Amino acid sequence: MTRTRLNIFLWIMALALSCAAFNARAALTIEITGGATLQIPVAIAPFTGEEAYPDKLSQIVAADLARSGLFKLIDTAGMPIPRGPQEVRVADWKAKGTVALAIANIVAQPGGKLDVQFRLIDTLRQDQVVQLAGYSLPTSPTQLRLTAHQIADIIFEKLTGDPGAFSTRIAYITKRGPVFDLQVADSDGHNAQTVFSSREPIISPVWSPDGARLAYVAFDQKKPIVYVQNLATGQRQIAANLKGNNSAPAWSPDGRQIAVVLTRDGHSQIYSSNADGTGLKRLSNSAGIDTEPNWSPDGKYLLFTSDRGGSPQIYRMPSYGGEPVRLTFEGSYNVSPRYSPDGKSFAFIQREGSQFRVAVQDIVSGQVQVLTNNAQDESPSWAPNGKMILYATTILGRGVLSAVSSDGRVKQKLSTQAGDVREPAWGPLIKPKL
Amino acid sequence: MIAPAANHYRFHSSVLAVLVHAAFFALLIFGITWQAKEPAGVVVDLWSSLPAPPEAKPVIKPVEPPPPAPEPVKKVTPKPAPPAPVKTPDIALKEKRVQEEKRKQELAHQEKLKQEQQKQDQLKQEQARLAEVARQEKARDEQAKREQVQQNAALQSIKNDYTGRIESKIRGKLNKSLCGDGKPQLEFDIALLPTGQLRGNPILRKGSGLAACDKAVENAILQSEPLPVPPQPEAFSFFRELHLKFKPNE
Repeated sequence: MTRTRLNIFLWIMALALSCAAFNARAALTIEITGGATLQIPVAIAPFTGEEAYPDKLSQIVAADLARSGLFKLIDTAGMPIPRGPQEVRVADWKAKGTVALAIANIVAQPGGKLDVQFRLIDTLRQDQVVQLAGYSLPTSPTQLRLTAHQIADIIFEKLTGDPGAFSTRIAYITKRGPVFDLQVADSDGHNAQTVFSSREPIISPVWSPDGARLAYVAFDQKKPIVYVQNLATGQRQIAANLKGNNSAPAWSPDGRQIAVVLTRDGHSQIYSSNADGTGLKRLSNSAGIDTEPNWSPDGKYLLFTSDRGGSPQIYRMPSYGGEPVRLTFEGSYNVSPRYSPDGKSFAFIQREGSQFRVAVQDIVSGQVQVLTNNAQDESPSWAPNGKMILYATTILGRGVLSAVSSDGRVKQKLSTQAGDVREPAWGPLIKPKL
Repeated sequence: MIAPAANHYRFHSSVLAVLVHAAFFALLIFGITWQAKEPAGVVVDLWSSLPAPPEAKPVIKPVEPPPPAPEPVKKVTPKPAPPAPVKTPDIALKEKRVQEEKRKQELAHQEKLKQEQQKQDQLKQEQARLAEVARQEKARDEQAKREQVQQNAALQSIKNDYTGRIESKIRGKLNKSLCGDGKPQLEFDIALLPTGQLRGNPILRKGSGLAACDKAVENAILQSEPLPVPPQPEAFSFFRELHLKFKPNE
């Protein structure tokens, strides 16, 4: 009897276990290898209250994101504009194909101040409204463009993982008639301000790492002299005024040193000095012309252009001087090297026939990618997040500023400049105080 | 001393003896015939081999001694003996009873043999029936196995088909440019409804270390909704819960 009961019990247990095993079938594993290079679909709804101001913030934000080449702006026409997260109909925005929606309210504050209340909403999760970012940005009517760039930076960083560089500034030289101007503007070319003017040429502007100063070469004393100018005070001081030419300044990453090109020993060679001009030291020593030094982000190397091999090519040497290594071999003319912010590649100007184009070369592999197809490109300068390259080109005999995404997919002209614009330099990334 | 009978008496006694014997045989024959009944129909089974004879002890019954032969005529009184109807019926009945007894024994024996034969036949039929049942059961099992194999193959084909469809759809939405230059690997768990809609949000089991890459993969899953799933319930059961492994840069 006992044995019979035991058998029945065992059968029931076996049946129960088999049922449990059926119900607890292991999840099917699917391996997905690869992906696509896609633009991120994002919608920027018109900001509530922006119609009261000449600058439409939502349009500035959308233009910034589009210029990066990484975003696809979803048309918001016909969609109800939510004034807060609770009014966002996520399913409708998901149906439009967007992964995120930016909304904002511009609220007037006492004393003429403004408060921009910005939210970035995840439109893919339908069960709840998930806020990817939410900021209250104090500003003023004259600072609305900067606020818009800051919002674009937030969206860029939230959706790409890299910091945005839209609220940074650029410097460049314009020539209007006989006057040369050193100007500083927003990264989209708006809000240009002249920081130094001269009837003599101004060349080679370069930002200090902290974004507070500009070094440049001015001929206002009838010879090229390197100056450093404080942007906040306008005060400028001589960084290099030695015998012969003083040109092509480059800041070290820590901002303590400046590399310059001097002809004090007969022909153009590369030297370094402290930012105040003291402690001069010769770094290159060749029979040819060595010029256009550029520091690596880690401060260990200098890229420069030299014709020591018979044609202008790009070399690299330790930042304390030493034996250079030639890096470029394609073509007979490669100049103006600029390290990428991650130090893995450099942008430069490469001549193909009679065309001068922006190219990027990988430091390790030596692989070169030509990014532009213009005739007269010059002076490439990386955005501080490495996603874009600013450069000058010539259209109908006039210099204009253009930008190309670092993968070459998106090219844009910066629209605001009047006159002949040359030698742009993209400023460093300054984290806004949010 | 008795004088020998005259010859003409001997003739008469002989005739009488013949007649008496004739009468006896007639009585015997007709008596039995009168008693004999029409035998009932007997079903006879043909046996390939006879069963072993029963070990029953032979029934030993006293057998009546055969009737004494008639006295020679010369010992019979010269007077014609009265007819012997008295003695003749006793003998006939006794033989009849013996015959009847034998016949009953024979019938009982045959009945027993018949029952034995029937038992053997039933046993053989039962064995044959059981063998047929076993054969049919085996055939059904084999058929079921073949059908199961075919069904499994069909399910596997559907499973592979929809696995490829899901893989393709999600891959097409995955923005790998957000996953850096390395070789990140990510794992998500998702649960699906029969419509292909997600049951709950994707659960990140293994991240890439890059928040944007994790988000890009999650978005690819969400943007792929509804995922292609088989309409057959049995096939869909494979896709109720999925473990997705991603290698965006490979």
